[in-house]
Amino acid sequence: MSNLMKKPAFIALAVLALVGIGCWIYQLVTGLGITGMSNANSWGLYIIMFMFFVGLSAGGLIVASSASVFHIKRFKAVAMPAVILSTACICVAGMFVLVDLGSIQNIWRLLVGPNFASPLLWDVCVITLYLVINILYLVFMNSKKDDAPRKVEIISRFALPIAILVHSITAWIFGLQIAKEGWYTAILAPIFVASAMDSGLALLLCVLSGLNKSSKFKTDKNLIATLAGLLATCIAVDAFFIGCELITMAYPGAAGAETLAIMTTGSTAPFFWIEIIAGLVIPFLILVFAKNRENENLVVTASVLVILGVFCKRVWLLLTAFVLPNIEGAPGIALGTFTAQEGGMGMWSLYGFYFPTVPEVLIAVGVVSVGAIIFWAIAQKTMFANNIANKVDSADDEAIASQEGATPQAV
Amino acid sequence: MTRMGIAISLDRCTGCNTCAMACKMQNNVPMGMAWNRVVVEGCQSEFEAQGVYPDLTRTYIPVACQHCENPACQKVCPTGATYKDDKGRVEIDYEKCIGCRMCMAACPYNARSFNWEEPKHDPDFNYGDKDVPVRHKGVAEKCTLCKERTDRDEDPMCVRSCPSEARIFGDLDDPNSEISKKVKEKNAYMLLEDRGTKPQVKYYN
Amino acid sequence: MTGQQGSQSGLTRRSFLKGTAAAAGAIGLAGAASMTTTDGWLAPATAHAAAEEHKACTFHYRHCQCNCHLKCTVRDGRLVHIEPNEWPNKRNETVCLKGISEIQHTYSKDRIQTPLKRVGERGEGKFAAISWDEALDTVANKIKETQEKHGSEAICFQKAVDTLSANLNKLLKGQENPHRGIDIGLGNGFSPALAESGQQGAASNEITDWKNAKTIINVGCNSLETCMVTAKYFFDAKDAGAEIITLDPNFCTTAAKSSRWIPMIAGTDPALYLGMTSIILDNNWHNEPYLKANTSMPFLVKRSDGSLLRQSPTDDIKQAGSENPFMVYDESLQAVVPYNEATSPALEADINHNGEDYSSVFTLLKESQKQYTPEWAAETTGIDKDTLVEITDKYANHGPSILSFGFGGGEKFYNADVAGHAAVLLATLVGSFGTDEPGWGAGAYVNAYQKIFGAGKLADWPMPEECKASKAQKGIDDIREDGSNIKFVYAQNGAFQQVFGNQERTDDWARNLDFIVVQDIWHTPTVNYADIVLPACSHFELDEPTGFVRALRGHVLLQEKVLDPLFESKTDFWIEKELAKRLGYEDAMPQSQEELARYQLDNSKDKAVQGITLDDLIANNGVVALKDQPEIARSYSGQKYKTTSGKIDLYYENMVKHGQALPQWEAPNEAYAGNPLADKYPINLTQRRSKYFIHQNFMDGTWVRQYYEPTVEINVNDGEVRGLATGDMVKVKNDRGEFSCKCVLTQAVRPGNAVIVEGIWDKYMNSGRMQDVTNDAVNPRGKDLAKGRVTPFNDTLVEIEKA
Repeated sequence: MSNLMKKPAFIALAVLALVGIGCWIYQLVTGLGITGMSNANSWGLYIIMFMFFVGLSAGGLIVASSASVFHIKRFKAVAMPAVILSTACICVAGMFVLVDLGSIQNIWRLLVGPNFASPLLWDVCVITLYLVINILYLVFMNSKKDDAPRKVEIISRFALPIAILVHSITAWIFGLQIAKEGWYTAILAPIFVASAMDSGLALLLCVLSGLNKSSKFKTDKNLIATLAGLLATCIAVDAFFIGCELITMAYPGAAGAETLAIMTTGSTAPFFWIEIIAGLVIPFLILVFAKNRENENLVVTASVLVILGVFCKRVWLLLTAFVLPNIEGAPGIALGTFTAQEGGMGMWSLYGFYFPTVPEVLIAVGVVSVGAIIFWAIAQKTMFANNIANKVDSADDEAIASQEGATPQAV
Repeated sequence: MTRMGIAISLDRCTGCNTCAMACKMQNNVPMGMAWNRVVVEGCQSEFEAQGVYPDLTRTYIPVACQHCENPACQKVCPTGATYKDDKGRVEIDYEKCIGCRMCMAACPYNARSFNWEEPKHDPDFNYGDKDVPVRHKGVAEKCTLCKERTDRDEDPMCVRSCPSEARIFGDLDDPNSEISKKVKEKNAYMLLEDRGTKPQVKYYN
Repeated sequence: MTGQQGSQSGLTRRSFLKGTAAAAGAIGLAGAASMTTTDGWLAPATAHAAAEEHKACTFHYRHCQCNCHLKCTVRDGRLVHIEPNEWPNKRNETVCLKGISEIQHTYSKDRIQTPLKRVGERGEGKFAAISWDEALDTVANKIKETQEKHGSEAICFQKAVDTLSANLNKLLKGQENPHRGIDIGLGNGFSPALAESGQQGAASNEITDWKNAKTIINVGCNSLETCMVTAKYFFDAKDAGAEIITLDPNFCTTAAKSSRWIPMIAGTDPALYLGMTSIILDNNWHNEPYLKANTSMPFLVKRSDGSLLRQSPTDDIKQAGSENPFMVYDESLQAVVPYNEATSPALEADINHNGEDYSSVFTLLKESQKQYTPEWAAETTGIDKDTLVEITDKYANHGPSILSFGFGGGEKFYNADVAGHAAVLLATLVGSFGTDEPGWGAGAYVNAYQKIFGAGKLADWPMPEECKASKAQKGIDDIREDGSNIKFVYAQNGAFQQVFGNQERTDDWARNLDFIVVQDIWHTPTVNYADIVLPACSHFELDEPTGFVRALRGHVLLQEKVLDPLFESKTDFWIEKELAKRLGYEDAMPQSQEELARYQLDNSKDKAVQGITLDDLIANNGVVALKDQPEIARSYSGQKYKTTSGKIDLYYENMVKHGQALPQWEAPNEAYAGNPLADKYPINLTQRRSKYFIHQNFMDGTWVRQYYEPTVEINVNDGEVRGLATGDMVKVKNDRGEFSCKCVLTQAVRPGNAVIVEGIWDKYMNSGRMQDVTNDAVNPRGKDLAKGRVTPFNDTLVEIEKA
């Protein structure tokens, strides 16, 4: 760790993290009123980031555990960074839930009086479980003991369904709410899983590429191309699910169409179209060609676009549902914010509106920085310290495969 | 069982906001917040009406917590801070609230307010019923059906103060109560009935 | 990322949906305000700690006519809870948002906290705090100086309904509310026919009687907002099957809640009544026996000079009919006989008597009504002719019927007295008065509630002989006129904006006055005219356990001490007593409010009040019912009228010289069709009362201002033609002046009209003052009307443009 302290990038991250923590303390003292949220739009950047990072996390772990569960041995090469990434991302996601809480001092109530009907409680449980699995995964992968590979295999069998579940339950926080036209749909969990797959994979690809460049950890070009192919498939699946949802919203021409109108032509339209064009169409068109998949720069470009697209999707998915209240009419909803406290007609809004504030963004940046530090720290302890496996990746793969007593498979 | 509720005559509601003001006073509701509001249906301001002059209509709908029989907010609350009490009211235990605002996302009626910061009162002291708990920043709050008053067998303040006598408070489980009879006679309806929340606030014309 | 804020944001839904994220960027940092206190951080949510709490009652401000009596809870010396007090009859237990908002309003930042003296120019609003002694000495000396130099009549006392001064007017010996110009327009025409005691057009029965009516014609009265606590009786009537038909230019709340709304052109109320009268006469729907028995309709009028024929000739038109009877033509006797001797007075008569042509009042009416055809009325009022006939049919033939009007709308037009006269005529034709039959009546129902019914007469404190108000100057219509001789004005509670149109003229007048004192609770715009400002207590504050008593709304109501005087304010009583001391009348005044209250109750000659003591009031939540009050009060029982003839006097002999002995159409002063001024100023601006305010009162209330900001309401088409959108800042202007505030485009306002809530304080306007544009034209007829000319606030043309 000590040598880390000297790296400018790390110092930058540490500063951002400290600024974020400072802002969070400010938020704790002052209240969530320092954010852009209000009674008319009661969730914002933190919950967007929460959804986003749960997705990023699940994607990585799904790849890693697929390697063991389905004996896709080539994936095992990236299992370690995938799991570290997954761990860091789920920590980030959890932190976003914590910074979003108005009364974090009461959080122990979750333990003494949990309401098992609440999807949020399910999510707390499943995320905790998921974090534990990630940690175990890491511990077993780094274990020198003989039974470690066996344990990795066992844990991976839990990891895959939990990874899918963690994202489904996150989706159900939204998808089970009859209050919000834009959320209440059975396909929300599949969409979340698909988004998790593509954004998680894309992030993994970016990280692998970054590691390649820093020469800390080398990933085989072919593997990157293969993962890019998988990414293309995930994008297609994601697009298909979204298409299903859009047509279901549009076709009856009823309430869903109003929500759709906000997404396509209204205030959340920029995010919607960025996602569709930059997040789905362009990266798919890049990655659908085998030649492009072999070009690491193009793969990274596509991956960045996918991540951006999924982020935009979180934005429109969350915020669109707040725009039109179910009961419309003057004076609207009492906002309850600092501005509203000043009195006058400014306390009302006919529609939901939201824009994050500077401290809110700084907290989000801080949380992500903490996540990056976690990634770095774990990577330092694990991959960079004893990454023999990666230096002789193919041999290691075979070794594991033979230990498992299975026939190596082609992908 | 007791299932307290309110029936509101939309014909009698003149949108005067007395109920909203009475609620604010009784429950120490701070500035910038409203547990109870009167919505002018489909209008951008209260000076408007629906239609084209001179074929106009204007409907005032008082909206507060609907005290649903099947409360979406209660179901999603992770700590059980929101609960359905033995008198059929949806209540909040502020000490259990972690401020996650899941309930606000779940309520189809935008009935809930959050203390985004330390509540600001004008005048700068805690007014209202002395038994009403003081809330601080970080917790959600909403109409309690004037728990403190109804526990003392008094009408909720909005019912007590309505100049049009548009509101009836009572037990929906008692078929002989005034509210039950009115709901039956007028075939009262509920807001967003299709959501299946089964509100105990009923509306009729 | 998404959206827009504020219900006045000016976005239609469509444009909103099309809006982009960019719009909201500005909101960004708004939340990042300074660190607030850490109170409550980790603090448990607990109920108030055990605190000292007690209850006391008081009455609320009554200018809305509602007289709510409030039960107030005080905790640790602060007013924390207000609810309706308990009355003997639950129906009286009322409160509205204004009463409840006193929790805040009593502590308003706009309370005047100390006595002030002017340090800047008059009207500039620059003041310095002074002691009570200095303030009172200055005022007293100035009163004495004015009385010596110019006589007491040079003092004008603008008394406010909501000030608890008992004898201040007598102490000042000045003119009291001279030429007030408000709330008297319709009454000027309506009340003389019935000798209605308040002379303000108060209704002949209570609104509680509406439930017995079948047809209710409500003209230009938004009582559901302005007299809100009577709303339940409105709906009870509707529930009982009454058809409530509201005629109003705009889709006001009352219009929206009525069985039916019929839009009409503002200021054409006389034409509506005259048209309905013609329809009744044309169809013989009038109540002939009623008219013969109870009205002046059979009286003979000399055609050559319009005078009523009396048994002995007289120039005194006020001479009682019992002393010198009016003459009628008796059909069975075929002779002219005194009306009290006639057995079958002819309703229609055209005779020659002693060489002079005489006609009955009814015959003259029929002649006069020939010009007011239904078609004419339809064109003038903008109401479809068939609709006019239909509602007239209902009114005349599907009774019991009510004719209701109010103190806004047509009341504030130049021709208001004609409307009042035509209204009483119309109501009389169908036999509305004195029948004792439930559900018949006419008038301003908001006023009847307090002025006519259930009002007990308390004894007046005996003041020295010389302490009495001066008469208003004859021959002038407006105290701002040169001949008024006013040098000193003692004004209470927002008087200046309340009674005067065309405010620049008020400025000029005020600038040249010797001295202005304003006694007010809040810093209303009138305060800025003052040389000395005296801060009064609210109705919640007292310096002794009990305060004033009132005998209104069927009960004697007590003011108890809820709070100690806030800031350095003093009760109206204390101010009065201290001035009395300085004017040499200390011994003549009651020493405490308790002494005054006991005197007023114990010495009352009113049987309804006799026997009710202050101790009864204290023992009964401050509310004791007046004795022998009817369940539903109705006036003129047994057809008894205190008019000159003892009957309903529809023929106004004193108006012969103005051609208004019978009501004759007169167009509004400005807001009439075809006025060339309309080329420049095409919009008729009217002021309306609102549920949120009592005139200027509550404008500073932050609880109330959650719901209202100054807004001029105009029709969507008028707005779009001018390139306006909801939320735009607009300038409202004419040759008299201009003001600016936000606008809202709405379908609820009649095309060609604009509406704004009255009483808006200058400081809440974007610029200018509302009364800068209002009309103050004087109708020359005003001098001969009982209450003088009306200020035609609503008879105002303006243009509206983007500010």
